[in-house]
Amino acid sequence: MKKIKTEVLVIGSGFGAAAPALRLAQAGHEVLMIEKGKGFEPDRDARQTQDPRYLMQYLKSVSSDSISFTYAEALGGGSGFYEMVSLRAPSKVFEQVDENGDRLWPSGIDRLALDPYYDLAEGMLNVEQIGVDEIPKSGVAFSMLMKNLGYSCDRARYAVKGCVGSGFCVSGCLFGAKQSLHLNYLPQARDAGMRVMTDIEALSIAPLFGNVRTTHGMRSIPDLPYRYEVHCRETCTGEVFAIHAKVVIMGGGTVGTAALLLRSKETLPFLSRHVGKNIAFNGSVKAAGLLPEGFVEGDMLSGRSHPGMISYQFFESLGITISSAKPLPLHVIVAARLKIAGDKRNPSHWGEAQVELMKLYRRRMIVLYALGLTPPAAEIRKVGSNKFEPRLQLSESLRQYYKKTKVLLNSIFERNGCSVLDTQTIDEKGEPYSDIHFDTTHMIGSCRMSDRKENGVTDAYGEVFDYPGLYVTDGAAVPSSLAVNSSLTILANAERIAAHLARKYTQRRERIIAKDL
Amino acid sequence: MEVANESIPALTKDDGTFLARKISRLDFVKQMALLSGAVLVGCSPLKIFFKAYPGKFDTDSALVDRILRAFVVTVIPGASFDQPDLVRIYTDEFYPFRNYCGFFAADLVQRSKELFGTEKFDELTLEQRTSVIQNGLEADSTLRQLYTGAIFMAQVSFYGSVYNDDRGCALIDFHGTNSGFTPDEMCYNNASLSLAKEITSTGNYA
Repeated sequence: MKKIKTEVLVIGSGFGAAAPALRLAQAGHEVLMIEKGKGFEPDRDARQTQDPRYLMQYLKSVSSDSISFTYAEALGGGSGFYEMVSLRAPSKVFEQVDENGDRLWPSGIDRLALDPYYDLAEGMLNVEQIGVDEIPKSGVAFSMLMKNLGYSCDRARYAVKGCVGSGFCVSGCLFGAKQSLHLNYLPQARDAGMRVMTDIEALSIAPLFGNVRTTHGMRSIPDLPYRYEVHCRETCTGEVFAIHAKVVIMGGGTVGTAALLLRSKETLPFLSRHVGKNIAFNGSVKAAGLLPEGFVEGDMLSGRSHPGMISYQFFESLGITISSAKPLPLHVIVAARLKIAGDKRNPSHWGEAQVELMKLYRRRMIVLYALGLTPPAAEIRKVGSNKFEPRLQLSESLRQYYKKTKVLLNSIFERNGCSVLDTQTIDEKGEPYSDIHFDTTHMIGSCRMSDRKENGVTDAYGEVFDYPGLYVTDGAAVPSSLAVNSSLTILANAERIAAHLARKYTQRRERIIAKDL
Repeated sequence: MEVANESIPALTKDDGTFLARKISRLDFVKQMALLSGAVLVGCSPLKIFFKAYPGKFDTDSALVDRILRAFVVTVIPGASFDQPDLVRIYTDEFYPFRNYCGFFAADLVQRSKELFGTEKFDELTLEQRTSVIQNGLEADSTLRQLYTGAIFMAQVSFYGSVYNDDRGCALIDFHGTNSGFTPDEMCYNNASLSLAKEITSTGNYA
């Protein structure tokens, strides 16, 4: 079997992987990044399209009855396809506790501790608050809904520079406006010497010698032995090969990292039992309504896909934020199947009637979604040789959360004179789910950080308990719901861990250089 | 009907898309025993399974193309019969519907004959074709699913312009590929009058 050696192996290329890859490459270490998905350069590969074949090349999902996770598999991870919302997690997020009263976040990690890394991440991504004159029409409509009820609504922050409002953010930005990782971390890491291989799936990890724990205190990468063997497969050819590394950083996302460790349980027998568990998912609840005639109109077909605003009105009382969504134009077609609540007529979903509905929905449909501090109750399980399924037990408190949140969102519509649209989530078979179903792109925590192995998979710096040199730096490490979009927190936490790794593994190298001089 | 020695395709609903799955001869016999009470002619899944419709709908692609085009211009007002890619989605290998094109076209033709005395579905008037499609939507659950799926696929293809990023769809003012919109098109120039109060100075909550 072919073998490749590298000092540092980074698995994945999204927010959680790119930061440590860059910082360790900048520190002079040999870094190899492998990515399961295809190479993706926005200026070359992005399309303004709704072609399912294109979208499904890069966007994947796993689902079960009560929950679905959607994620990206491509160079740059979700950064090529996300909506650029870049918000810091509120302080209260870090105070969340589990059922035993133990803090979910490791000691010493709170908003204050993360702020310097939020600053760093925001600087790298050119994050700015949207200007008043840049708010898309749908965002203004949402803000007006809140204003009419005496509620607050703030302008959100985005990793975008020079947005032209094409509306195709989630299929990839052709204009270089979306500050995906392709514009900053990845090219800078390459300039610092990082190598990248795409279409490579990491299959399993094994220690290269009997007791890797003997290397626990070692701090100099040049002095470290090669500690881990990662079995990989080229997805195009099926060829299997191995990579030997001194330090392995797992940044393949909440689903990818958990899947990799679950596949590696036999070769990593001391792994925590928490691998794949404790997944937080931001409790996303959605509702759709039709603005009344004469109300400020939105526009589903122009402007950035997250239309500019977020409300913290209910964050202290209910632990939720509310935003408005503006999906791809294709969704207008799908949305035209929605019924107005209480309207007994069965709308005809084809012909002239449907065209009129779509025109109406373009200007007057508004979609709200709430993100909340729901507990980390989901998990990922291995259900076949290489198949994984999410699971979520719908507790009574989760049902109450869903119901109350949905009632609140609908009441915002009703008290503004909007018609509420009956929405149903449908499964892969096209059938409505029979019970509550959460679908999210904000799943985090499948290999969470913790103070103790009894409660998590890694320590506060992402190092897997009992496996020195093996790290989790992506969303899988983040231990709680955030009530805001997760990308900036994932990146800030990855920067925090990367700074620690750069200090830890570079000390000796610097001393050697000084001695040589 | 002869049964192949090794394996034959069987219709399953394990993923709701009627994906064909090979079964052994023994399993086929067991399935036939279970289904022996079903009325073959009236049971849509079996009609598809046994290809119980005229063979020309599987071999004459021009015929099927014509029928499907007539279907699409009925469900999509303003679609042109000769438009390129009008029915491409139905035979696209990416979608399972390609396995049922022949059956679907045959069903439209059969209903056309039952309702209006002619197999020439594509020569019916718009109102007549509408009636045929409505008749299919009111048939058994399998056909309802098939007709609904076919309508939806037409809409995704046409309104979503999935085979031509640039074209968009004039019917719903969708521009397709675009170079962006002007501030006047995207935003309101007096937005501040409509905005709610803000409680942060930066957009980040403390």
